[in-house]
Amino acid sequence: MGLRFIFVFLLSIPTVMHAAWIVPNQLNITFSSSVPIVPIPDQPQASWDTLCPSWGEKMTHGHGPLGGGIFLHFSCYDGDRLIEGERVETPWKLDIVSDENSFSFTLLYEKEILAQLKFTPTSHVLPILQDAEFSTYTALYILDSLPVFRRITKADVESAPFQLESTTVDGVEAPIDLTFYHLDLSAEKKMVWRPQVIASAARQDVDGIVVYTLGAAASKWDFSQPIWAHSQQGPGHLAAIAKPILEKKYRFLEQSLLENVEEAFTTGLDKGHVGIRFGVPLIKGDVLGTKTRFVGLVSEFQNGMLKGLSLFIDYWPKITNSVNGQTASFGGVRENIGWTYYVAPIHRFPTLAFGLTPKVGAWNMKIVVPVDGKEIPFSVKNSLSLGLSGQVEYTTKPFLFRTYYEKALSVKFSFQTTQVTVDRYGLDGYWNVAQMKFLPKALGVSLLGFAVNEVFSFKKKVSQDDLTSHGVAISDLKYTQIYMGGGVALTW
Amino acid sequence: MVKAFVLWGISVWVFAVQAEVLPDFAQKPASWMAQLPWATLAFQNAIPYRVAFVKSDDGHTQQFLPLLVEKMEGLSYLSIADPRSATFSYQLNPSFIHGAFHRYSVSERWEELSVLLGVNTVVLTPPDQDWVVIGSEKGHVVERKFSPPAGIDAQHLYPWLRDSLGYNGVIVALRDGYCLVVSYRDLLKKEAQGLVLADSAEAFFVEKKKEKGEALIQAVSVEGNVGIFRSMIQAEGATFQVGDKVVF
Repeated sequence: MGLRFIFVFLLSIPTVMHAAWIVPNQLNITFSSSVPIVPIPDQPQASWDTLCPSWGEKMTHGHGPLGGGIFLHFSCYDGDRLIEGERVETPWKLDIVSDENSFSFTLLYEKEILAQLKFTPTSHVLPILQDAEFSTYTALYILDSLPVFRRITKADVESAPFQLESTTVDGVEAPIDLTFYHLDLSAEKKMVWRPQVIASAARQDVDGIVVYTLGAAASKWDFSQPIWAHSQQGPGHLAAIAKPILEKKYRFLEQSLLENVEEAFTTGLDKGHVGIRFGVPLIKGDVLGTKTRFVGLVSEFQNGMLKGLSLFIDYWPKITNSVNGQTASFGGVRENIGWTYYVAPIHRFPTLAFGLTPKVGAWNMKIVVPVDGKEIPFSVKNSLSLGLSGQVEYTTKPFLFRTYYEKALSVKFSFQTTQVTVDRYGLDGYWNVAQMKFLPKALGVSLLGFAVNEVFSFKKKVSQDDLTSHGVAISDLKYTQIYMGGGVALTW
Repeated sequence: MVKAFVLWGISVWVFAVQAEVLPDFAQKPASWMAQLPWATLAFQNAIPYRVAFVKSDDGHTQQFLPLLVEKMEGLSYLSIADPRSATFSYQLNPSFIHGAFHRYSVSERWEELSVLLGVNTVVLTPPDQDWVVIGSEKGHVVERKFSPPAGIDAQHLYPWLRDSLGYNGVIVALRDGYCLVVSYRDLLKKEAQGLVLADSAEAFFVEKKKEKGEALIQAVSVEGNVGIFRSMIQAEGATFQVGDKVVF
């Protein structure tokens, strides 16, 4: 006990000697993020450069929540880069740090942490910082955690009645009692705040406005030194009320932003669309390919319960071509329904997303090719099909580009003689053009573009009818189509 | 005959002191006092310096005796921790305080209050019980119990404190044969005389029965509750020290 006491005894000496009224004139606000920042589509892209002034404002004298605020000036930094105010040394610092462990706000005096808020890590730090309610509650939490909540001027005291509250905060009432004081900091070894109380004031609500009635002064009002006000209960009481509200707000913001961004990752455009597209063949000189046309109906759902659902109807009008007096023909319709599962490993925008789409469908198609003087048909009718498509999407609003590869086949039952296997790969482009005045507000228009290479592999169980006059039969046929085209979609 | 001789001697000495031209510093006690690192000096030399009167501890907050500190200012060299500021100190430093007083030792109470309020003297004032004065000497916390005073105003508290401590002045600086003494305004009259107590420099409490004078000093200049004194009679071999206690 003796040694301990001597230690404390020695410790206490300089704290007694040191007497410096605290004067928090300057606050330096520094933002740093080691987590990639994801801007939100459809919202102006916030930057710390533009956001910081509103944060600094809320910490300054008279501009904070519930009339709080203690600093006269502030400077903003992005890391070491000065972006607002002057480069001034100050012991008062607000560090806003986003890293893989947390998203935190720390108010420091020298190296002493006076207030700290920690949230779960986020990729949406800027949109969250942009939220006015979030910044208000955060400023309230920080200010109320400090040994001083707001400055008091001579004009404040001389005004009758004394009014503290300049901005209200939902869910947090102004303190019932206030204490006015000078504040001395003994910080040589151990940081201890030593107030010199001047007076207190009791809250009264007059016509819905919060005012305070000054009590008898305990010591003289000396405006040559800063005078401060805080709840008579001291720091932390309003902060304790604000914290759960703030955490709830953060969870809500994080969740809604996450949903927005996920939407952006999946389409980057809209919540869904239904469109029609037309394609013309790129192949020249082919017996059939030169003449074929493609019409497609496409619909994709990117939100709600149907999120991931896609419907495709591909239609090839029947065309015929004469080859050496014989007729070749091709035509068909393919209906597919798919469900896409997206993975977006990199939360960065513009972004890449990877998707996998199982498909099931019904196919009807027929190709007739002349062989050795005989027209041999390969056809599937009302055939069940299964397919799997893998795609990569690049989204940079208002564009989305998708490249994909799909493998599909018709299921061959015992009563069927032909099976078709399809290998497709291609590139789709979506351009969210604009809302049309004649459409309801929720609807818009996108232009579609595409290019696809599709190889149909027909495999047929050869029958007697398939034999040519020379006894030749064909069981396998490959037919390649390359289309390029465009279309239009109604989006919602 | 001997008494008459001694009185004659003192009178001659007093006349001599009055007749001498005082150096500049000896004419301005307050100015001399202002040059001292008073708080450090007090903590290092077992000199009561700033007092907190702790009323009670309800388990969560500390309450302090509701003294009108402003009315006590200037009456003593001791400063009193303002009860409202002291209470608010506990609100502003939640991470520092131990918790309810009854849960920790007397020395821990003293430590906490000394750092928090800058006091080196604590008076516990439980209702209907003896009051406890806590201070420090030679690196240890010391405490004594006393019957409470009849009132809690300056007229009652300061005499009670003087009686409890066993002295009413302290030598806080020495220079060229002069000593600077802090005391109470009502005791420091012009030409006031005081008895310097032997072996008292490191003592926080001085028991009356152990009081032993080593010198008689007389004021040469007085301002408020500080005065500059010169030795009138000094025991053989006696030397003054900072921290020596004085009774008037």
